[in-house]
Amino acid sequence: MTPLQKRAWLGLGVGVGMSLAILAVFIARGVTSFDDDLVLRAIAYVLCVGGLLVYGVTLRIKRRQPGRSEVLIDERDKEIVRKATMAQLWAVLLSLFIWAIALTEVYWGQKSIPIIYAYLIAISGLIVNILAQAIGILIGYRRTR
Amino acid sequence: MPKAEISNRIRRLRFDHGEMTQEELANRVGCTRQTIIAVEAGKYVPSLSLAFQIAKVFRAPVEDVFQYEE
Repeated sequence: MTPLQKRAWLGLGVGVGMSLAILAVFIARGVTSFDDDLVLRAIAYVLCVGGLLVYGVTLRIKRRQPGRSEVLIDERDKEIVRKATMAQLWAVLLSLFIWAIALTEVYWGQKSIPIIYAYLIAISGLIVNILAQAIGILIGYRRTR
Repeated sequence: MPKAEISNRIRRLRFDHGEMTQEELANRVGCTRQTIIAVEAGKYVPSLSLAFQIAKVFRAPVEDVFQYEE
């Protein structure tokens, strides 16, 4: 398994983990309590910033290990990442459009959208981004195996 | 445009060059062993640069290593 594949599996784990964590938090504390619930707001901030940090760390892969001739990343890996990035872009765009249409339809009568959705959109964008990249990379390896 | 297939003789050439391992070839051309496996199996078409490097290792013209078939 290449380092990029390992990263993709890690990304998949992080994405699924974050999805479950956010679901658990909002089921336990309730979506509508966001405006008054400081703890829920703090958890949302931590998930946003923490998720971004974890994602940033998983992006770092060295081309070679110090003192070793073995290559860790090569042109095939880069090609797979390039294609996965396109899948990532489309997945995030699609998720944003789904949010926009769904929220507009649900809150049309009220002419305003609860502030919690700003965080949910940001967190879901991050999760979709991580998952789409991971799945794209794993499919890319499967096709060129 | 007709679909083209790129085949190769890397497995044969490795065998002819002292049963060179995929890992050794990968290290000499600067790619991963998985990429050599994918190229050998015809699942991945290497860049021109990598194709020339592989041919150089076998001291053969690139067309002796890779064949273009329509």
